[in-house]
Amino acid sequence: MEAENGMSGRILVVEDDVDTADYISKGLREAGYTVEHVADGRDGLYLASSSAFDAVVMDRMLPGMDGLSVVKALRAGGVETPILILSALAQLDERVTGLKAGGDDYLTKPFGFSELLARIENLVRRRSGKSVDTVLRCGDLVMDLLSRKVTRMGRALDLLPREFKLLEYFLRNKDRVVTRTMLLEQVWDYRFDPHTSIIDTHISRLRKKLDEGFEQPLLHTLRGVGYRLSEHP
Amino acid sequence: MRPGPEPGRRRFAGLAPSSFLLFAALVVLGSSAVALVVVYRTGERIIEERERAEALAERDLLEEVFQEQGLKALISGVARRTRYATGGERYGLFNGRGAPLAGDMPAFPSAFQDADWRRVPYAYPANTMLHVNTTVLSDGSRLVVGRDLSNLRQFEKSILYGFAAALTIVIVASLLAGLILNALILQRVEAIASTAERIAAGDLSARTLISDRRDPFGRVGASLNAMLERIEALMIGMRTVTDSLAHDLRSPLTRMKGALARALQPQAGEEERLDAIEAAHAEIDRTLATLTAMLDIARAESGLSRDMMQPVNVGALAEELADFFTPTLEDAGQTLTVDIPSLPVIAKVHEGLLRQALGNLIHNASLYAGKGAGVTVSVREDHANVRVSVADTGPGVPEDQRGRVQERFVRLDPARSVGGSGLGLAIAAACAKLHGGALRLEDNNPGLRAVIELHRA
Repeated sequence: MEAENGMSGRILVVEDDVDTADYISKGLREAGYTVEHVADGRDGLYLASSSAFDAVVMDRMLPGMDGLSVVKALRAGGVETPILILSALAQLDERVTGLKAGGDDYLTKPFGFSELLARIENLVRRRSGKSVDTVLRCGDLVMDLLSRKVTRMGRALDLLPREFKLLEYFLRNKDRVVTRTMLLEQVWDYRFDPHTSIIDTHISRLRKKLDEGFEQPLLHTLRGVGYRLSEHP
Repeated sequence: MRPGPEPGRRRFAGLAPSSFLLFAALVVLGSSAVALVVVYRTGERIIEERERAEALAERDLLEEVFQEQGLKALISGVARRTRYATGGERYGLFNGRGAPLAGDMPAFPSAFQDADWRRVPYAYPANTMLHVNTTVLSDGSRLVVGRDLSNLRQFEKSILYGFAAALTIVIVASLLAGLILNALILQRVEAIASTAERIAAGDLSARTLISDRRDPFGRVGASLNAMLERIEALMIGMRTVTDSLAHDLRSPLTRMKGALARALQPQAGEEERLDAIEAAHAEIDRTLATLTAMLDIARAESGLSRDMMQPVNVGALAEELADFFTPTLEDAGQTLTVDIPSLPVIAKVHEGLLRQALGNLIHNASLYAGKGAGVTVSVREDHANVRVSVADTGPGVPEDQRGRVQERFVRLDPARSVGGSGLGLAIAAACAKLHGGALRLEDNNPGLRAVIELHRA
């Protein structure tokens, strides 16, 4: 993880609920981030537009000015800081509205901290330089995006298009925690009930092709959180 | 204090008919006055015109008598006419020096000079206004034919009397009609208001009596009743949802509590503790998913999601979803066939909800169709509808149960329950309903075919 690798970032948390704000701020600081917290929408707008942050965590319902208006105002003002919208409104429509307003990601309450952290790191990294490489690597795994070939230790892996798409997402988020809902939303643009365990099925298929017959596993399952592609266990 | 409607609304409701009445009365009076003036002016002009024509004809006649038979004959003619005058006819014949020769005009005032049907004051009898025509004859004598139009006053009076009578009748009649109408309106409004008050008091089954007449009140009553039907249906639906939700939340919460209690036991090992916490965690996810699904259904059923609809290639969407579920179906030992038209099938849909609905149907097939079954995902379209269906060759659903499985939280066979929120088909049904269609469960001979019908708006 970036934080563990010594890379830190500044995160602005705009959240009026004291307990939630403390919970988020504490967790982010432990992960190595510098955190600023405000409880009011207008303060959030002022801070986010006057000072440089690596990401903003924005609650949707705020006193002063609601979260979506702040996001719209920031985007209208040319501020491109990645924004993660937090909301208790879980419906499909609300998510679309949030992303349309200019949010980069949308997370519904209640959420686990690992889910939040994974998404923030995803946003911060996305900003710190979108990879334009045509070849993605993880240890001895090599993905050529042009020829659409994947090899491990020089041996070609025969992947279906959907498996290729999934592995590409993992490679782009190498060494980072990826949750089931992130995969659903960002690889397939779906939002299903997590109990359908479809993602687990896809992962086990991919893992079979990726790790079977090799000494060192690359695709790790993190209990209760999600998955991570990494050459380190 | 008696709980009642707001005084403001009452006052307005009470005032409106009477102020309308006042307004109507003013309109009637005003237009009557205008009509009076118009009739009077027109009548006056017609009478004046007729009198003038008559007088000039007489003048021509008398002039002819003078030309053919001389002054003497004219004098006796004028005298005869004066004798037989019935109303306002006046005649005068004067010699060149202005002395009267015949007629009932004792003097020739200067205003008569050259008069061609002019209105002039005359002193015999006093304060008379005459319309006169003066003709100078060839021997210098002057013939005056006049009319005293004071009989016009008579005409004025009769017009006024007639009008007053008519106006009285109109006012009385319209007052009566207004009062009757008012009473009728109030009676029917009262009926509707009392229904509304019963609803407000909590009796959702109250309905207004509707007359068969197809008048506005009948329509108000009918639409009120339709609205009440809908509200009552929604309320019952809502009550069912909350009841079953409360019921359905109880079991996962109990399981969570149990798992956490296990984790809290002092003698529990690290591994056991983690297992218990993970179980509780998964249970929470399931519960949250149920809640979200319930909200999606509620939103779709209320029609609130309609503004999120966009043109989407339904064929591509179905193909993509089928591909997404392929591993799950394969793990269940089933084979998948995708049958979609080669051309794009574009329809205006709520994409997220349709994905969810179709996903649920495919997922249901993977859960319930059993090992070895074939699953076919197909898209068909005609001018009115797009039909997205998932058919399997599994055991199917007995016909009498097909309605029931669409309800929330219904799982047919508890022994066969493979998890799931019990909301899958309810979401598919809500999705179809949002798109103006319906979810149909049919016999696939063997197996079940679930069809989401999307109406092209």
